[in-house]
Amino acid sequence: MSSRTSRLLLLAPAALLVTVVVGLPVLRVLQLSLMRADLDGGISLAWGGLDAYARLWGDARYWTCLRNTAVFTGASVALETALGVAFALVLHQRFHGRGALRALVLLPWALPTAVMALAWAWIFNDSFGVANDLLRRLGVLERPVAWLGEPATAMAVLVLADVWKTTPFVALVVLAGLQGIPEGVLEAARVDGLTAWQRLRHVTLPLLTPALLVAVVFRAIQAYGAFDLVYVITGGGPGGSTETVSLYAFQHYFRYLDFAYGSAVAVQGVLLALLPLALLLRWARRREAR
Amino acid sequence: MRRVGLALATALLAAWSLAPVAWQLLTAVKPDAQITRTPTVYLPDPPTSRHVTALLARKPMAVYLANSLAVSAVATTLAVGVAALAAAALSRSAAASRDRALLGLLLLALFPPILLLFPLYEGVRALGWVNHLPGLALPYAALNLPLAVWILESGFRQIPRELDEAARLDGLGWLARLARVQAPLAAPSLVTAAILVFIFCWNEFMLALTFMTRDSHKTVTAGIASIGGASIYEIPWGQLSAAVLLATAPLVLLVLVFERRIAGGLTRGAVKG
Amino acid sequence: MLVPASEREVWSPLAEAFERAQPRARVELVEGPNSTDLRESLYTATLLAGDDSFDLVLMDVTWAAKFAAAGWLVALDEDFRREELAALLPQALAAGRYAGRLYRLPTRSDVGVLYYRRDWLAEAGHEPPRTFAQLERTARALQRPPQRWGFAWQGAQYEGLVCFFLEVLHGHGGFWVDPATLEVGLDRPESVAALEFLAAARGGQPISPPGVTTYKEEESRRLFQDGRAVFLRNWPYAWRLSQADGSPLVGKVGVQAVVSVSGRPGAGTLGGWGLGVSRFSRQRELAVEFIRHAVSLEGQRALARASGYVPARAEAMADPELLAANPLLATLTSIHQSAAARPALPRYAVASDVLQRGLSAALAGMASAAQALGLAARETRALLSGARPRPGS
Repeated sequence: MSSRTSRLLLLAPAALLVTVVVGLPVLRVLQLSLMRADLDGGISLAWGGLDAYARLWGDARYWTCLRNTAVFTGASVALETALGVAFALVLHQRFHGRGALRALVLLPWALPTAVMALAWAWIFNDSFGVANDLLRRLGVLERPVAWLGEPATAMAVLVLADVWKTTPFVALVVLAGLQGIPEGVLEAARVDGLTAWQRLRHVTLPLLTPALLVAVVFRAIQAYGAFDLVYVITGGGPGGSTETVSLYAFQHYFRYLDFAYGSAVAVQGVLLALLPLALLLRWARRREAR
Repeated sequence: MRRVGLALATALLAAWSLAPVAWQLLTAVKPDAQITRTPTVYLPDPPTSRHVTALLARKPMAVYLANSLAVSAVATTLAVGVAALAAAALSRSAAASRDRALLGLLLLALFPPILLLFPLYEGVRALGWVNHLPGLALPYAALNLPLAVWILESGFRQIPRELDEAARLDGLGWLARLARVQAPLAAPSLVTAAILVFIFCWNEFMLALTFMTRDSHKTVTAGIASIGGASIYEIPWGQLSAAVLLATAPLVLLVLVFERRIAGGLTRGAVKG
Repeated sequence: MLVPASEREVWSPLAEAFERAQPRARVELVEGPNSTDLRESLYTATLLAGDDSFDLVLMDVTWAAKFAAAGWLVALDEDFRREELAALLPQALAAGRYAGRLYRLPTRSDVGVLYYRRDWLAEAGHEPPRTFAQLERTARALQRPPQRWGFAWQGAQYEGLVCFFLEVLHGHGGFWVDPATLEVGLDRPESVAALEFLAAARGGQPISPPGVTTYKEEESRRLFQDGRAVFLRNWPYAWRLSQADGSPLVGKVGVQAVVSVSGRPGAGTLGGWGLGVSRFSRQRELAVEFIRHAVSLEGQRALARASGYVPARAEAMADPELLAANPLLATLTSIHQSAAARPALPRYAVASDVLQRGLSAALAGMASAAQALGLAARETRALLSGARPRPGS
């Protein structure tokens, strides 16, 4: 059997699984986005062409959602990546209890989002929450802060909750990448007289690019699609300042029963997210070639 | 100096990861009145096991855990298995076609799963798989496939070609090569991917809630969502925290068991040899 | 049918009694999440897919119009005699009508009320307030922020905010949407004044904690329950919890209708739940029978006894056993007379979200009351311009 045939055979199950289970629903969403849903004596679907997309352009709430999503994704991913790399570097060292620490670090990722979101909302409650209590005791705050009641702090809480939960993901992926770096290369660098910081910057990080890419790209995608966290902690408030694209689309599907428009929101959002993604990938590929 | 720095770093790391979890633990054993008291009561006085017992009496946690285990295990095995095949193929492909395939997978992953909920539900229902294991396991496997393939492809690509060539010259077919040469060398990636996928499946909420409505089939996340309080407005923190800890304990055990594999280090040996 | 998990014990006795009365029937109570929104999504998903797994639909007061307009509910006019329907509270029943037909029978009703600390007011020589001005004055006099606040309410961006705001709105003489003419009254001076009252309650010289914009029912109730608020606006369920054994508030709580500018009792927002029959059900007759059972006197008594909630049947409100367990029912009967329902629009959810966001923005200081309501009014008019006014709703 030629190696090309065997390669295609190996790819087939994956291609099949993904095409049927994910691809078909995606096509259905695309189809729905080109329809018009009317709620009047039954839900009727009629061909709408690009009407939904036209409507999107004039939808101020949609653009606010996009901005909120961009802020959330950008802040989360940046923080997670920085912290995740730091965590991975620590976990890569040899010391007693490393195994236990690794399990511990994974805890945030292991806890169910929907419930932890409730816990976070309670922690940042202005009257009963631990956060205000602790900060008051430490003397940092004089009066309790209404964390979830102001747009800026509400977003900050969301980012914190997301970063706490998903940094282990980045850490784990980067750790796997760190393990792939041959000891010899780092030894050589040390012998050459490079300091730890220089070794990190000029040897480790570049070699970590593939792992970092995986972590950043997937985290960005997941943050972009984040739903459970926002739904439970703020529900999009206050004043719609934390409403994300997924939340907005979900509302259209399940609350307004306007799934034609909801689908358009989803598709448009994906198309817009492609641009930064493509740029990121191109930059990464270029770095790797070097 | 380095040791002090390391000790500090590990302490911070542990504190960061543990703090909210410790808070959940304390809440799970705190009497109700102390949970919502102001100023905040930190240490339960005295600790109570009432929440745990009430939870276990009221909800079939064992059933939920078993369901979660079944769904997650099947989905993970499927996802990682299929992804391994694909990754093995892609890692030996020409850069251009490999990149196209990876990008294609990424494109499909770009769609937030929550928005595929409805079409997936339509499909699962049409196949009669509501309240059946494949109804959840297949979507889970498919949704995680892009991530698994990317992680594994990265891991497989690090395996030096010489080893692969040597094995082929030794007369091993592609399956044998995969199982006996590539997989062991890519073990860290395999374990990483498996753990990440498993945890995703275990904690997934919206699909589990929608596709499994019967109590006997619910996963642990859907089960937790239906923990009741005295009214529909009340959130029973004590029981909820207890449930979260019960639901997470198996995951922690799992990671502890496999964490040696995360340690890896096998690559070094292979390169030297 | 899908019930919130916390209400399983509420419905079980009723279900069992029904099964005994109708040997052929089997009632399956599927436990769902406690969150109203999540259950709405679950029902929506199943009904959208034409699934028959739920024969009965346990609906909030605001879902009936939407589900009926989507064609998912069976019209129940033919199945119930006039006398049977007349025994139910008229406002609660009316909430189940859409386009002149009946789709939902109420099994439980609710109305927004004002709680106050009788002991503190008496001690300071204040009468229970009748107007907003009096409320504010008393709240300001008796509060000691941040330990004790004047007025606790639900200000988070969710449906509860709309329920509460409507009371303040009507109390000021404004209105949201007239379902008969589809006229929008959000940007009238009275409406703006209503929102300005709330915004002032939180900002500037507050009588409410700044975090009130994150409060839902439980947080605001907790504040009051812990003795940290003078006034609380909430649903009747809070009464039962405040008078439970061991509560520090036993005997110290007064309940009355919400206030208004004029001094006459205001219109509390109508809440409550009811049952409808899914169009896809294959057990239509049995489902209707179950509803009949649930709204009968015995059924209502069983439900109210098990849950402590307010029944939807007038006689049940006067039932001696229920009154003994929940003395508030006597007061609630009169408060219920003037309860105001939310507009029964198929696109209610969209209109509500528009209003929620506007209110939340103004309360969080992101916009002035006039700006926020002006925008909300414009968006609501655009939304309704495609709809037809429905007579008889």
